[in-house]
Amino acid sequence: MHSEKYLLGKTIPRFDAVTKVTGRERYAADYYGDDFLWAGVKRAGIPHARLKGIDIAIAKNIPGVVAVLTHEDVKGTNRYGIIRKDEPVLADSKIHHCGDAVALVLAEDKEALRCAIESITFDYELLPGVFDPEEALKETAIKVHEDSPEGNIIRYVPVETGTPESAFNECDTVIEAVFEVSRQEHAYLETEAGWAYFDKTGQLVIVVATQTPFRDRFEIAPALGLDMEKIRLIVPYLGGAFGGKDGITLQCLLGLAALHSGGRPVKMWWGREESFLASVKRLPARMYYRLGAKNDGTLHALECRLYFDGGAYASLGGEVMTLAAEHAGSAYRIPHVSIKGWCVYTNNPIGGPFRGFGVPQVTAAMEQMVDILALKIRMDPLEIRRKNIVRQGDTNCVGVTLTHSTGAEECLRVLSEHPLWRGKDTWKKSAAPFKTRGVGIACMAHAMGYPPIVPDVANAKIELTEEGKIRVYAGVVDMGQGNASTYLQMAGEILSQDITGMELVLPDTERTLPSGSSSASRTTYTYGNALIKAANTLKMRIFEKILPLIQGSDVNEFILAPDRVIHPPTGKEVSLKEASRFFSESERVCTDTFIMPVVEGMNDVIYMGPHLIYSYGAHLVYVEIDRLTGEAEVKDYLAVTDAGRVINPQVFEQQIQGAIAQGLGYALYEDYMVDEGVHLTPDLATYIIPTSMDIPEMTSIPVETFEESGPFGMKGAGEIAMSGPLPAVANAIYDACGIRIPRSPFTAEKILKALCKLSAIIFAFFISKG
Amino acid sequence: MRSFTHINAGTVHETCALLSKYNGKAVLNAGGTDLLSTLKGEHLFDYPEAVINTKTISGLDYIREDGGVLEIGALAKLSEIVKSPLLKKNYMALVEAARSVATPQIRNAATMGGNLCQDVRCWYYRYPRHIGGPIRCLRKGSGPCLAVKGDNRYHAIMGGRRCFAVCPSDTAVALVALDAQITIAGPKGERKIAMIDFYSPLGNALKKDEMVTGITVPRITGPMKQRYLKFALRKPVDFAIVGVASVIAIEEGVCTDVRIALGAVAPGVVRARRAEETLRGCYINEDIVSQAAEEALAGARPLSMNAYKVEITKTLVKRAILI
Ligand SMILES: Cc1cc2nc3c(=O)[nH]c(=O)nc-3n(C[C@H](O)[C@H](O)[C@H](O)COP(=O)(O)OP(=O)(O)OC[C@H]3O[C@@H](n4cnc5c(N)ncnc54)[C@H](O)[C@@H]3O)c2cc1C
Ligand code: SF4
Repeated sequence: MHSEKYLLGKTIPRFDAVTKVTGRERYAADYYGDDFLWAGVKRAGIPHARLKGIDIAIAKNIPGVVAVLTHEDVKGTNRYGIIRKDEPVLADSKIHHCGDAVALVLAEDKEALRCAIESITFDYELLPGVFDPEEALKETAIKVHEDSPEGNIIRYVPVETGTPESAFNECDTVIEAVFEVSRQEHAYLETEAGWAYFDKTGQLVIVVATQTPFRDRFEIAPALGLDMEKIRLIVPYLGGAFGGKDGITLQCLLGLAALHSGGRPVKMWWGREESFLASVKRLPARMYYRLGAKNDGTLHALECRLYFDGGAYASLGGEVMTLAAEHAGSAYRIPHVSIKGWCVYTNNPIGGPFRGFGVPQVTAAMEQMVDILALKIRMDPLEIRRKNIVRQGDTNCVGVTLTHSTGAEECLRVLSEHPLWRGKDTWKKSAAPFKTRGVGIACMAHAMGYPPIVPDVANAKIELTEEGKIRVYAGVVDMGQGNASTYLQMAGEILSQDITGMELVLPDTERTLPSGSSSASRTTYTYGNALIKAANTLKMRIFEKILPLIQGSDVNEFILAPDRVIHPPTGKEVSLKEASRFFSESERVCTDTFIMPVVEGMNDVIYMGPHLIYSYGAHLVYVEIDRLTGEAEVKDYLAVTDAGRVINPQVFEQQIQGAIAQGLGYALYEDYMVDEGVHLTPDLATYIIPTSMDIPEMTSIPVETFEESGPFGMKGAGEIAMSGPLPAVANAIYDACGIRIPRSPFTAEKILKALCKLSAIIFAFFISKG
Repeated sequence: MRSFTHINAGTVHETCALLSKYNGKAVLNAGGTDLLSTLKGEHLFDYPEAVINTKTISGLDYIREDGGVLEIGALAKLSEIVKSPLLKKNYMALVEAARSVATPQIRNAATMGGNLCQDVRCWYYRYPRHIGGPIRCLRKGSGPCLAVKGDNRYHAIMGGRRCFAVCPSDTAVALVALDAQITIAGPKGERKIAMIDFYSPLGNALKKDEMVTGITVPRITGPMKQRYLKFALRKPVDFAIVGVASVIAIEEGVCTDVRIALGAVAPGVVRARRAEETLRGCYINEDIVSQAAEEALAGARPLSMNAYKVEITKTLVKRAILI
């Protein structure tokens, strides 16, 4: 029965599959109850103003309205923020962006809520705004937060290795370019939702879609003046988050509402437009790159300046930009590097975490630089990458020696042998009239876990229930990526149980243990490692308990099977339910902790210190351009990924496919446009994301290095593939028709303009030649 | 959304009477796929007092040919138009246009009349109330047109006057190429106008108490090649950046009759009459078609950010005739 690989490496249906497709799974928005109140927010709608007064008189008198609250009703600091406490629960002195919450209304029904919100007015002095990160850095720029010690700078991060200054002189070729990437909206299916009430013990209970239940308590408590120990967060499955629910969205508002609801439960659920307006976005960036190489293609020096638009509040914008700086050189060895990054306040939507966490932005720039360089020195784009790609034992751009699994080169090898790479020239030649075809590639690296100064810890908890079931307490949120199911698969592997027979407790600050956020490609790695230890302890404990019962002599003689323990020497079997009777209450539960290894002693290299373990990828894309309309169509896609061993091939592939789709949206259409505070793309009719019909055939190949430190050899797979599509598409567009578009996304409009310009230049050239 | 009175209309006559009674304060709800988003977004300053459901009017969902004249009722569903064997046989441009609209689910609800009468998509105009709107602009009766100085990448490249929002309807483009007429009913009876005259820069030809009851397409004589080509940012489920419909008769390589209509480039649908003139009676080849495409766009006056639409339209015109 028991083999080395009971569930490992197998595609088994996800634990949540059936309940989700049958609609039985309850998301945060599905919580209703007797006698609850709706809570809703009056949003500012203007980007920058001094708030002088809020008129809630009419709202208060609308029948069905229970309370109308302003900043004056917030008893705590009225500020939250993971790094900087700069974000108000309800705006007080100033409005910093259109999405600011000005007043909170509690009402019996949605109609009263709507009328009340509509009737609230506020008195303000409109202030000029600042909407461009480089403008915001100027001495004379408008200050978004007057009390910010460094003006509009949220975070400045310099990184230097080697001697970049002189290194450029040693290069045979130096190229320079500027790239801009758009603001991207997560557009998760489930908009922000939550349900809150005070229980009989006086504890505030919040059921909410968040990626960070434990950390949220540290934010809610001081902002509202509550005791952290008296806040409980319960987090069902999320209907998508991608980083957009990494921290406070509506938790503080819900808490505040519950404080004024007269003991009734409160419900809040943002509509799509409100979600778009108020939620964080992927930070748009302008990136100045300079890259130097030797004649043989060896990368020698890199200099870049990164300007990230952090929007109105710090959120994790500074940290996003820092991870970008750390990855600015993509997956290559470059001995001399100078990176300077600025994350800047503006009156734009808030910049925050989004799958990739800054890495897609810089990878977009660096991978295009590599192609530009390859062209200049007449080298094959694949060859130049192979020459410079990091291998185990190499030192990466920020000076970290890569001692862990490093499969980047293997990714490139697999890509180079794939029929899509080998057949590319034939494919390109067979384009229809007025179409041109191009093939682009890109490499990528993505660090796993938190940086060294923030210990990346997970605490796993597993239980043998009285019924003889194995119950896993997942302290990390499952936002749809399937990590909770993978936990069961891991525990099931160790304990030889089928996951359908196991039980799962989703994050609940009272029942599960703190295990950090569902983010940073860490979720399965860190928690999984802790869980393996806890499951092994439980296994031994089960054997120890039944040893006397079977009158065996050695615990190692036992094996586990679904719902039972077997003692092969005697052929005896004991059901887990029976075994469970020999456990005391406390013995049933095993817990363990895992802390992710980090780079030691290099914390001064970069803000928060550099990362140690990376996942890698190499992508290839086929793009066809319509020369007459400028339309770029993605025809085929290959993603080769080193994310260590694959626990569940289907769950792994879903991550890669999802990231490719999101990455293609980022490359081709997604641009959350805001014109001096006016959100031009405030809904899904104007903010265009790809549908299943826009996604090409996708091939995903894992190279499966074995990461020694990982649970069953795995590394993070959630973000890595997000960084590839944009630069691969950009390189393919160049390959097809010789144009580079400085600002993504690559819409027909921009491609056509560039093509017209190009043909005008060629025309002029021929004219001048006579 | 706010509260309103909901009335199920039984007949066209009753509908017009209700429209009269409410004097501009009532709106018609056919499939509701456009109306509901305007009611929810609350982007207009006036909110209707009454919503009149027209789905309860029986007999207005016909798709039939009568003496060679095609008639489609205002309540015919776009999904029925897509499926209709009659239309597939003789009116392919309309079928292709209807098929390019939204999604199968939306087409199951969306109606012919609603598609023609839907409101414009200008992003300043549609700015939702609860995120800082509604935004004032010329079309709403006060202030300047914000698109002129603002982001006008999807606005009109010709025919705009004061307002530059384009007509978003796909089927209207095909209907103009098919030389259709639109039937309008009012308290005093029916009138018919040419489809092409239906739109104006600030709205359409309907008076406060009128509704569309259907369209008619004159007899098609001889074999006609028909196309509707649509260019959008995203292929499925997206409004046209440009739409071009063509109806062309070619005998022995020579164009004997042709009509070309341009959509999403102007407040209404545009007939490319000069281009048609050029093609008529000529042997169809690349050169003449390129010339026609140039002429189709001769009157284009793009705004600051939408000159690319001119090039795309030319390409679509060429393809609509050549392919
Ligand atoms: C996601 C999405 C995508 C879309 N994509 C497209 C697209 O690609 N192309 C396109 O053309 N449209 C598109 N639409 C717009 C539009 O909703 C549909 O085209 C549809 O045909 C409208 O028909 P309806 O019956 O639902 O209209 P309704 O919403 O019921 O009505 C629309 C308007 O017309 C008025 N009206 C309805 N019937 C009559 C009548 N008989 N006489 C007078 N006035 C009337 C209503 O009062 C209302 O103002 C899209 C809509 C959505 C939601
Ligand atoms: S184009 Fe028309 S609808 Fe849009 S802002 Fe101008 S006037 Fe208003």
